[in-house]
Amino acid sequence: MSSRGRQLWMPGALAIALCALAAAAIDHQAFKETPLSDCASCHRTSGVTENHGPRFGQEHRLLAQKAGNNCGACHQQSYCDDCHRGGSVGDIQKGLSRRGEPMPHPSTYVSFHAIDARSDPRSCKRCHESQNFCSDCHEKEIQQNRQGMDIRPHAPTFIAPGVPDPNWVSFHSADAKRNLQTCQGCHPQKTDCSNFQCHPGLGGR
Amino acid sequence: MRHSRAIALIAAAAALPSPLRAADFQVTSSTQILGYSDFLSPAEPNQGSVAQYLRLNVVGLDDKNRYNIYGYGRVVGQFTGQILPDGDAYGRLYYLYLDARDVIPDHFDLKLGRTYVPQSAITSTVDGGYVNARNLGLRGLGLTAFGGHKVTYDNLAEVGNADDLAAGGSVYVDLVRRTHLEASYARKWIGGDYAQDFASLDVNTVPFAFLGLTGRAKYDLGESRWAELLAGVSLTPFDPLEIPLVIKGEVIVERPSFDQFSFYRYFGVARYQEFGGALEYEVLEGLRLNARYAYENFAGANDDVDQHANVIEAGASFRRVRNLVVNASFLNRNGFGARLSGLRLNAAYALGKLGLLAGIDYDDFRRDLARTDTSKRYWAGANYEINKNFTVSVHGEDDISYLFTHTLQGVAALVFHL
Repeated sequence: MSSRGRQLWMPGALAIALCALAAAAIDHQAFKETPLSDCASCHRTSGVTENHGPRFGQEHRLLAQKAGNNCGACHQQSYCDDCHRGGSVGDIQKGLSRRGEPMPHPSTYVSFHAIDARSDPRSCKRCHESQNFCSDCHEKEIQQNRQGMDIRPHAPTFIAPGVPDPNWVSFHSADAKRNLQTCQGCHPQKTDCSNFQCHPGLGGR
Repeated sequence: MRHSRAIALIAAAAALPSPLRAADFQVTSSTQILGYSDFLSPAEPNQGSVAQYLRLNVVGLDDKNRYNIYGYGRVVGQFTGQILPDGDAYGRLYYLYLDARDVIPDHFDLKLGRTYVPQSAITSTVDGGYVNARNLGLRGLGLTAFGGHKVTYDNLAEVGNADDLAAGGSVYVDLVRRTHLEASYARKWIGGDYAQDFASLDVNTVPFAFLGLTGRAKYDLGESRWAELLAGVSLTPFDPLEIPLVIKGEVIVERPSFDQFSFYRYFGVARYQEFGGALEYEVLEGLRLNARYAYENFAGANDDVDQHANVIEAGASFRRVRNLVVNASFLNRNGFGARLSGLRLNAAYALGKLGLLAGIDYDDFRRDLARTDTSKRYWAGANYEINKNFTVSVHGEDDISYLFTHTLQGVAALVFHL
């Protein structure tokens, strides 16, 4: 922080002067050491709104995914990995997971992570790619009979022996149509379906 | 297998740029001792690890600085606790690639090795290559392509199969000033089998000085449906009056689809929609305020159930006192499945070679299917520059949640720069 703290108070005139020299320059290499607070002084007259605002952490993906983006003019790739891939060469002032992994969430995030997981279903996946990330904790908790840990119960329910609940049938059908690959994650064989009475005609392996 | 792959990457990176000259080596090493608590090891919750991070940049392999090598990785071993098997150390190579700029001047860039490829269709870390062919006949017309083994990280190490692959490319146009149009396509294979493919069309433009527009339409070819539709606007209408107010709006519709092995196959999420608006305002130099509202709408498996939540966020950043930065933010989410109120407060102060940091995270939540509770995190840290090459950093925190009454965790690091 100490070096960054000093950078914060570099004179804004420097940034303005560099802007003037650069004119319509796209390469921001010259501004690498300029504090973010000075960016506005150039951008407000350049016709391109500064983009590193307070929610840039949530917004940056669209810019980062552009071909030929200029993120690399200031940031090394480790800057991405230190949030997205559990790196920590640049900053140790982050939360710690139960495995000691540095993470951008607070250490108490396990308490309410399910709320965020529901709020933006794809956002978790941007960093946590493997299903083991969930099951590593959840399966242990399920084994200890903790309620609410089986994320989505979907075993068949019956209204009478041999008669499945129509509500379950509807749910099961829609789910299978929506994303059969999801089902196949746990039930990879066709016999997982055809062995039951429901789909005797499926045949095959 | 993984070791041989890493060796092959290093060898490839080392072999390519033949006109070697006196290159500059930039080394950053961080040696860390970590103490933390594992709530899933109730018999022995206190754990300890040692981690070694190394970032190495070899820049200026040629006299025009077109060829550079970048690498970053870490090794972690545990000295107390039960998470890792006894004596095992886990390595993670984040990236190691040759970055060749202007291989054909003003036309052709290349990355070769393990690198992160952020692309709209599929973003992935690959062991392979990425090319960017620029100014193809017309200035601003370009092509990108990437491909290779798809790298998947899990917890402390890498997982996946040798034949997990990802490949794709894009065509982009920067012909109109301040306008970028890009069409991309990418496909992913898991265990050699087709897993997903997406096509995406992205546009962002600044037609007027006060107006920025963004759009994305991403199609899931495997599922034959739209995966993401996004429209965003950014306005600075009062700039001529020197009133620094930014107004933003965004509408997004997402239909997540998950491959056989991915994280979200557990979740029954069919469609997510968000309508958001935000304001950013610089009250005076060094004092910034921001606020945001979002209406979130969810659909379950039946796709027709209206479930929603309202999200309100507010924040402030204060830099009025020399060498002091204070940030505060508040979030309230109320609706489908849960209620959450969160407060973040942190400050940093530089005192010569010493940097001091501290913060509080406070969250009050109700999860419909679980519990109503609060969680708190109080943390403090310090950095000290011993000299231009060495910095020591410490971080400590006290976590209070339903898992532990008080949990003390921390990290101490010795950082070396060369």
